[in-house]
Amino acid sequence: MVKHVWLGVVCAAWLSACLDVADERARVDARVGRAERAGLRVRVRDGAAAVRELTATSLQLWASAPQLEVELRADAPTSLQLRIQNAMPDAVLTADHDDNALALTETERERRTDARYSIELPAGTTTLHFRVPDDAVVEPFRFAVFADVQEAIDTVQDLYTRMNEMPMLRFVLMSGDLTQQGTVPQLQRFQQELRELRVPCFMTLGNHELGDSEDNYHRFFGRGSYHFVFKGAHFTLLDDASATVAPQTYDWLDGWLDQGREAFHSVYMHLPPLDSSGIRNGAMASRAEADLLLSKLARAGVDLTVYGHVHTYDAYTNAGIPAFITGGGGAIPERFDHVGRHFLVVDVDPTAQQLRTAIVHID
Amino acid sequence: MVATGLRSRQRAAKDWRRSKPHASLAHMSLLAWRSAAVAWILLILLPHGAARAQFGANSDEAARAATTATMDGPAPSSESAARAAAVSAPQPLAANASPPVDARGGLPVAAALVLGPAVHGAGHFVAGQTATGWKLVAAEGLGVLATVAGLGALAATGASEKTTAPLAGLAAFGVGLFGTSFLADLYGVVTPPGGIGQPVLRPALLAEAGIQAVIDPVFDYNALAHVNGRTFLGRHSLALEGHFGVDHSNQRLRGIYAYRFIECDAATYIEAELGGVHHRYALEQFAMTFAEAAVSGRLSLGHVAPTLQGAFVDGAFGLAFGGHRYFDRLTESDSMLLIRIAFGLFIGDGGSWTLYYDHRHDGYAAGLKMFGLGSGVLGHVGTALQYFFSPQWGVAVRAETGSAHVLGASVLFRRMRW
Repeated sequence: MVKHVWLGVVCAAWLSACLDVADERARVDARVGRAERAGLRVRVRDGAAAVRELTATSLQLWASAPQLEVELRADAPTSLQLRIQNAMPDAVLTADHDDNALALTETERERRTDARYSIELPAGTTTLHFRVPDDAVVEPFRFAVFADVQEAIDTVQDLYTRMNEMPMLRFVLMSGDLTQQGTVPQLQRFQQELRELRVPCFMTLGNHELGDSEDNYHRFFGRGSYHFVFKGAHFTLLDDASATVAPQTYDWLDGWLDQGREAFHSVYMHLPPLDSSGIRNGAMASRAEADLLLSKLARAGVDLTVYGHVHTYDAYTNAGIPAFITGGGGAIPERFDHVGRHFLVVDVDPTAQQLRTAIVHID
Repeated sequence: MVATGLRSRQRAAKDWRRSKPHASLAHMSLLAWRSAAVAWILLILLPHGAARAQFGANSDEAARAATTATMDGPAPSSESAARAAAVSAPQPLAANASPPVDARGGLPVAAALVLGPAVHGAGHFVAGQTATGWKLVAAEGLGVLATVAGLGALAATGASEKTTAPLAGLAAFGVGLFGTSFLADLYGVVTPPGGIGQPVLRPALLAEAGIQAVIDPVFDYNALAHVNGRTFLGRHSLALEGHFGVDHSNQRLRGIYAYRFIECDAATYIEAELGGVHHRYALEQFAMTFAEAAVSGRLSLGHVAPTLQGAFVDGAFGLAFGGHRYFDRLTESDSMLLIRIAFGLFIGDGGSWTLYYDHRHDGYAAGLKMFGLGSGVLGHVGTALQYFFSPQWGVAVRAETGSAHVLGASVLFRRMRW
């Protein structure tokens, strides 16, 4: 009998092993932006920010979207020090309590992306809105995309300097591989280097964030898979760092694709579903899953896909969708391609649903 | 939606990149394949007494004799008894090989298990089979060197698309040599002299029909009907394989023509393969089609050492080119690197057990998902058991793990001649 039980356990372990490699991270995603401590409860809508610290008198958030909506419930009145890192430089915070605007004080920003406020928080539920004044205006804007910094963190300022020089850049997207192993010191270093960037960097994780722990990244920078809208353009970032997408994330993706079906919609992830060089296969583990994902994106009218992982630049189409690989953050470059470090600049006109891309070479 | 860009520099770079990619790719692939062949030959030629002296002309004669006996000779009488006798007569693994040697013993097995992971050949050293032990150590060392060289060069080139195929092939060869030398050491000290089975030479027909269960977190199919058949005409063979979804509209068809251009015996040969595969996901509205070309082979380890008779290693290296079709939309091109490595042993009369790695990222098992950094790079692993309980009938079971788990059971049927 014991022998049969052991056989069953071994079979069950084998059957479940290695198929759910991304599922736990999807569960962590679902918990991002939620915290409760010392009589304060925080809920960030859509998990659009990581709760970095929560005490009876302070709340620190790391934003992963241009605009935030935060619900705070206090058991008793308190003076709250709110800090929002990775914030849009021109974003403004407002607070509503029982349909009445609350007074709040903003401390002068030391850095454009680091906002600090003092709020006299009454007991009950207060809703904070953090958004840029022109968020609802559908008009052309510019953003940059890069990926794969890894061990080249010492030289990442070369990229940030060029980004800071670019006019009209509203934010930067990062398609994973911030670090070499995803350790806490490496993530801290990446965050520290980001202080020099004058616009926020919204990112997802790459396989190199999984070398130490499955959720170090989430504790620093929030969700791996999420969706936001800016000036009428939809942005979806997907966690495919394990060369697959979790079933839970596919469910979220279906909803996000529905929301962006009639608008400009771009999708960012670390591994390309299909590598432009199939023989190399710097791509998802299953060709069939790649086709499944790409079919979903194509049927939903996605207009642009941008990937990292492969340390070069490439422009191609997948399922008819314009696709770019921009893995030029500094990690060991692909030889013989004459590309080197670079990042991608995208100009979007959400009204005309047009985009222009340009590669900016660093070396 | 219009995508335009200021891309003069990268366009120039891409033009340069695409100027002569396939010439260098083919050249380096050939180099890697030749290196692999030379490595195995070196192992065979390491001191092996009589076997080394006899390997050569005699092997061709033996192979020709075996071929004549089974394929080209006059058809035997129609009596089933005569046919059964012809089928069940074991084919010589290597007519030139040394007599089987018994290296079994508790201590050698313990050494192979405990010391073996570090020193491949430990079991044979303890059993007094020093020459074989050194060969296995050499194979281990060569495997490590090839793996380090392959992976190191891959890292140094940033996995350049021009050099990935040969370098990945070199790394896979190294891992295969490392793994199979460990398994060979264990095999040699566990199995009786001569092994526990014999191969048969090119049966006229080998057919398989069964069912496969698929556990895939992404796709809805759970059960597949599976049919497979391979027929030989001289050294030419044609294999057809089909998978058909039982609970889902999913079909996969694959056909391979092969020519066996080198054949030393029933378990030592090299083949050239040409084929194609089509996989249709009707509900998900896409399909994949690839044409593939590969060189594959099997080496009877009886050529390496007398204690290893009855065991074999398989290898294959090739490329596939094709595309993905998104229904009502368009078709886009793609390519795949094909690598297969296996260790196996013969069981009974023509049956076998194999443990294999397949670099394919298509199909039901596809590539391995792993925790940590390395997910997506590797193909799938699997094991297959074939056992014939009569001259014509047998059973097979198979398990594969990649992006999905695939478990299969089949009935086997074979005819030795038409």
